[in-house]
Amino acid sequence: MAIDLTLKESATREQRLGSITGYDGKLSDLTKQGCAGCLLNKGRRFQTVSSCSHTHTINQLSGLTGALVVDHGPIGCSGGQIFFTLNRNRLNPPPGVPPLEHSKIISTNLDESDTIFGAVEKLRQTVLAAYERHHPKEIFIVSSCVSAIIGDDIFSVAQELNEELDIPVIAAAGEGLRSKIWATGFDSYSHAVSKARFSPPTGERNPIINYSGFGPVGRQYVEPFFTRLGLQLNLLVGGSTQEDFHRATTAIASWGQCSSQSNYILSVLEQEYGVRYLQSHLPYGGIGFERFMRDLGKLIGKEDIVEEIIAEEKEKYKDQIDAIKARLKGKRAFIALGSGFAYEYSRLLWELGVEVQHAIGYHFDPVLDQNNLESEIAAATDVKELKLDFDTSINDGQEMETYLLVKEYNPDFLVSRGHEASAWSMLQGIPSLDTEIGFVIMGYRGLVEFGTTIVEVLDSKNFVEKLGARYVSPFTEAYEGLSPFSFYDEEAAI
Amino acid sequence: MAEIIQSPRGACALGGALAAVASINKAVPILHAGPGCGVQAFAGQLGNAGPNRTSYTPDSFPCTNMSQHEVVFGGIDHLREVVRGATEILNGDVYFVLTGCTSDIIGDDVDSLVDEFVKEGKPVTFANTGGLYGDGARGYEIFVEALAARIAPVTETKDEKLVNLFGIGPGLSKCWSGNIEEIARIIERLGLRVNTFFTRGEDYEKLLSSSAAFANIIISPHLLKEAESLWETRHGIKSFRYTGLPVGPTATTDFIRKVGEALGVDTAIVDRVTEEEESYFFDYASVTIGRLPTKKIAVVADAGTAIGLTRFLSDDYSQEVVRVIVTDNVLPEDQPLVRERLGGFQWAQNPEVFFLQDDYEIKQALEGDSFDMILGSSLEDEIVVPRGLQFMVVSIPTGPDMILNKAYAGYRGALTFVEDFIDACRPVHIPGISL
Repeated sequence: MAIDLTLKESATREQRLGSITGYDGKLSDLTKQGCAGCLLNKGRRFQTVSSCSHTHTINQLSGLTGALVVDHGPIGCSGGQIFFTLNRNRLNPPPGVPPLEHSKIISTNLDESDTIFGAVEKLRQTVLAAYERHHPKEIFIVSSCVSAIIGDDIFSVAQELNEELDIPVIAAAGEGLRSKIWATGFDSYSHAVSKARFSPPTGERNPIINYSGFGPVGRQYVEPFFTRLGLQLNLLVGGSTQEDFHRATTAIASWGQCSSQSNYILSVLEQEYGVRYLQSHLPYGGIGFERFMRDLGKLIGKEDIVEEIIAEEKEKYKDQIDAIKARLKGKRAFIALGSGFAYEYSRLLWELGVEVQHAIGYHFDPVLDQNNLESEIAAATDVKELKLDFDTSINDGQEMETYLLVKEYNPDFLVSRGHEASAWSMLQGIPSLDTEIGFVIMGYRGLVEFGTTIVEVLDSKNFVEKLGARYVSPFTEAYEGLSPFSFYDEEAAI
Repeated sequence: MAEIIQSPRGACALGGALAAVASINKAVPILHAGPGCGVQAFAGQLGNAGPNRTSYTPDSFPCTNMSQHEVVFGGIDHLREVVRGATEILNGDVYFVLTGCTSDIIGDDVDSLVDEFVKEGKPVTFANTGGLYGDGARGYEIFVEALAARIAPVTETKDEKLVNLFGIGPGLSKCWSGNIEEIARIIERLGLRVNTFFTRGEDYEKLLSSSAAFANIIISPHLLKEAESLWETRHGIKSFRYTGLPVGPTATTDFIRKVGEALGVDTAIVDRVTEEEESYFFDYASVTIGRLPTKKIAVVADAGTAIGLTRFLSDDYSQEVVRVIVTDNVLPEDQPLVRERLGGFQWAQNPEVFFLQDDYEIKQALEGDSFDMILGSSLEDEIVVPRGLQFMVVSIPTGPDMILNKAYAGYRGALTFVEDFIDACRPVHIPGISL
């Protein structure tokens, strides 16, 4: 389904892509049903806390250099942001950016009386104050559940102020109640930032490749590959400037850290400006790297250089990978990650000879936004090209469901990131890795780094074993005996 | 509260209430709120006060994850199923339904629903904690009000040795749990027993026994006024209020003497305890001779912490606090008391005092060159590097520091504060969040 930037807001993932948050079965079946367009969702009547699109909308927007976010909600909707953005602040700042500048989110601090009288004027005054205070290059207004329920029209306010002020003032739909899938927040960010920062390129296409992701961590490991191919690496990440986004429209190709974060914005670049979105093969681990680089080499007609790079990298890390594989022989892993990385890490583990018992994805997109119908989602290509298959399920951070699955499979270790699956695993005495994402796990170097971490974790299990020995289950006996998918309810799927 | 708030320093009422419930052993929070409220409220309060884990189910609570469907059709039926599920699968002692903005705006009748479960004999209770009712401190107040009004049974029988400790809310300040433990340790040396509710593995039984206490000790200049009157009218329990965190020998001995006087503790015990504790403090504090820095300081913190640290630095440790920015929501009628407690020192001059929650105004109030060190939150680190100021994190959001059972309150906590303070004054400056 084509993206329509003239609309006020992006449609949700459920509406656009038929994305789901409930499934259990085999990866082969999941991707087959997805590709055929017949994948049905499953809901749960009993649920535990998930996450919302608002979190990701403001997190992404507030990370942009030169941007300022006005959050039209109670303070609780933005009070946690400093907690989430700390890692970004640990990074080396890009050139020209002063160090340690915290992202700026100004809350309209909606209270009880605002829900009775409305707060459109308060929003207006907040945007004007934001402008006077910081003179940003653009202001994003983000809605919340409260502003949406009371019916404050943030889009009209943004339009009026866009005309009054000399900078773009763009509204983004952030209310968490819109979608069960928190990745919808990445789409709201992409929709708003596309309106604010993309404009039709003038002149010729440039030898640029875009990368969309959370941050630039690990850039130094991968940039030399693109330099050898005559390409400049252009980042659309936390800390990126308006110029970075303008430049992106003139690029040859793009890829993203994962389909959840990157799909919408890179599809916009492909649809509106003809920048090819490479999405079927992500460059993680050795196999992913080879396939991605060959796709890129073919696109720019530099297959020979690509083959040189692949051969060199393979040779450089061969001994280390063999040693890691020997150490991990016979190990079994369990994965709980966002939908993009769940099915990337499953391939990385497979490449290291580790058995993937089960992978949980926090949602699943059967298709992506781009119009290029020849491209398949990355998980589907692994099933077809590598015959990769294993048990998988989809849950939106339903950690009590995850707990039963981890207990059932009793893996040697768990691979996770955020959302506390690792806590449920560690407390039971099962080691868990909180993984890296993005550039850091790209290529054979990334595979070695990941594999080394697993070996280290499995070599030093004393803490987790001692924790596990003291574990007392908070659950009733009845729950401990339940099937992990007992809370599914087809009627609640909407 | 301020009209608009740049970079809020904590979560909303739901965050403060969730932090409280999640810190009680075997208490299960059930959120009737949007899908992201749990994560945001948890990160914004307990997460921003050093890493914290919930006492029972790691950061994963039953929740209705309210969507458009509930907004249109009401959310009570779904909540009923989630509460039913929670009571069937989790071995909780008590199940605490906390509402978010969505539920409070659409007017779901949570009270009646909870009654259905109570009639079945299930230990389910609730509080309306939508973020639109205020900040995290307000959420903590709502929790304590619910404890007094709904949870603690009315009883005539009082235990003359049992007191309830209130005022230091979970996630509302740095070292909140360590501070509670240190203050409870000192009070227990007077021969009393303390319900802390949120530390030492304390559980639902302490909530139930709270109405058998013969007194409350409230450590805060401004919080819990409504709760204080509820305890008195419903349970006949009077509260002794100490207006600021007691940090260091002067304040803590003052605190202990006043507690002793108010609660009728034998003065011989009070004299012995304060003498022993002060000796312990000064034995260690004397080690810092020769390493004692002299600083002009700006403090940026919640009222309780600001009073505690400013008084300790001024009255016990020969530092000069020149400016104080109180960052929690102190109502205009409470500001004169807080201002008074931030002055009247034995030696030092009174600092300039501001009451601000908006980060932009806070940073403006930190301009000038009258101080060479900031004791603040991790949000202040961005101004200390360019200005060459020394810096120490003492308030929320605390940033990446690992805070477990550390305390700054009392006698022993003040020694930990001195350790951290002198570490922060090292010639090679290492800010709270390093590059």
